[in-house]
Amino acid sequence: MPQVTMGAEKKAEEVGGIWTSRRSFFTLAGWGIFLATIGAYLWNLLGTTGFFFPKVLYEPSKRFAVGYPQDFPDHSVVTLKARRVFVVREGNAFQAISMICQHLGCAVHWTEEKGIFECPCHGSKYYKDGVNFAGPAPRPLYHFHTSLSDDGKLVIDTSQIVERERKLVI
Amino acid sequence: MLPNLKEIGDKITQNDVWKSIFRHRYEDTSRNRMLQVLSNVWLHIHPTTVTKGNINISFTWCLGGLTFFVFLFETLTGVLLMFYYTPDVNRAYADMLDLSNNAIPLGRLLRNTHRWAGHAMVITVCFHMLRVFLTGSYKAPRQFNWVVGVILLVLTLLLSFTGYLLPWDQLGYWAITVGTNMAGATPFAGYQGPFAELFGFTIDNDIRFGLLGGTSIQAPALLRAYVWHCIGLPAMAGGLMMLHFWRIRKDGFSGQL
Ligand code: HEM
Ligand code: FES
Repeated sequence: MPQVTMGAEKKAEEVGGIWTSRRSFFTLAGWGIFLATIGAYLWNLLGTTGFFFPKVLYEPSKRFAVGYPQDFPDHSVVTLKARRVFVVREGNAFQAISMICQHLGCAVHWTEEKGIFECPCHGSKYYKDGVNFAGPAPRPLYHFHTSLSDDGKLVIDTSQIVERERKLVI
Repeated sequence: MLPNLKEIGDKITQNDVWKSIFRHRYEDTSRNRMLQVLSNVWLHIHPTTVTKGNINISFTWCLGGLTFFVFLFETLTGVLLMFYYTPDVNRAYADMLDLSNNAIPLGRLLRNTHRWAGHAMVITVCFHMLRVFLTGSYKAPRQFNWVVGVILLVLTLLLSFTGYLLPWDQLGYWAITVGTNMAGATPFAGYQGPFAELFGFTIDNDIRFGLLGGTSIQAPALLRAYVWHCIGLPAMAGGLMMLHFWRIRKDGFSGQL
């Protein structure tokens, strides 16, 4: 006479891992697919290629002409506020130095009397060549690439950071 | 002959309109008082019985309650400000000046109280947290509410931060410059932070970019600050406050007796 063991069998099924119990395998697989799908959509929403990261920017060009070299007086630091750069001229050598403070991004200003750049936010100071010497700034101001356009204008490219020593000699 | 007071009272209270709003009479019995609280949508937020320790002002200083009050005040004045403020780089500053110069009736009062109350909320929420810490009220079973509270603290600070940019003045502009550059130094998320190279973060795909909607503070940043400030953050904070209060009711106040 066959023994009635239904209860015991069921117990064995529950004890088995996902590999031995069909039901828990499909339960886990179902949840897995569900969560993976949600995760993929969330990444598309919040990830670095998602909703909050527009693909087209309406920002000023990083490369722009600032005028003829002779427009800049000799031995001067000219502040181009809207472009956030200084044009430094020494004789016939030109450099473009960033206005953006290397601490947390305020706009530094040129103090003619002291011959240094100063930041109003937390007091960082830089020499005329952009090297930091006081305050919390961790590194010198960026120097940007300069060149001459075909019609002889000075062109600055803020997407190209160059060494401090580089000068455009005209 | 003049009708007596009882008759007038009955006229007012013995009809369907009155009874549909106030469902219980005034008998000063324990049962009736509880029913009054339970059946009223506003009062039911309170427990039907409150122990003496719970209303002891020197235990909570009502700091959480004050924070909530200030939040409601900010919501009211903020919505009124929205009638006159445009989150557009060419108009925001002028709109703010119009409000400040009373070009709008009560404009200055609105703007100044909204700003001061914003500062006040940051202060009260900090003191509330300090109180909860000093009375040990974060201990079991209130750990969950402590965590909800920490998120509420962050949301309060973010509300303050996003609101700071909206006048589009020098103060706010540079504060947001500094603040978002700090975000740009977040480990695993910012382009200037640790591991930025490893994860390929640059100025146009990191968390700072996601906050500003660009590589620098321009029109998209103002619009984003506005939407987060007026809708996103208040909605999240409001939802969490409901959760916070619900937990307080379930766990009971920690100041017993
Ligand atoms: C938007 C911010 C917040 C609001 C509106 C708020 C509101 C409240 C209110 C009304 C109470 C009742 C007791 C009292 O008034 O002190 C309370 C209690 C409590 N809050 Fe907050 N809170 C906020 C943020 C926080 C923060 C930042 C923390 C801690 C990280 C926190 C943790 C708690 C805890 C643990 C309790 C229970 C205290 C007890 O039972 O004694 N809350 N909160
Ligand atoms: S941003 Fe220039 S010193 Fe802090």
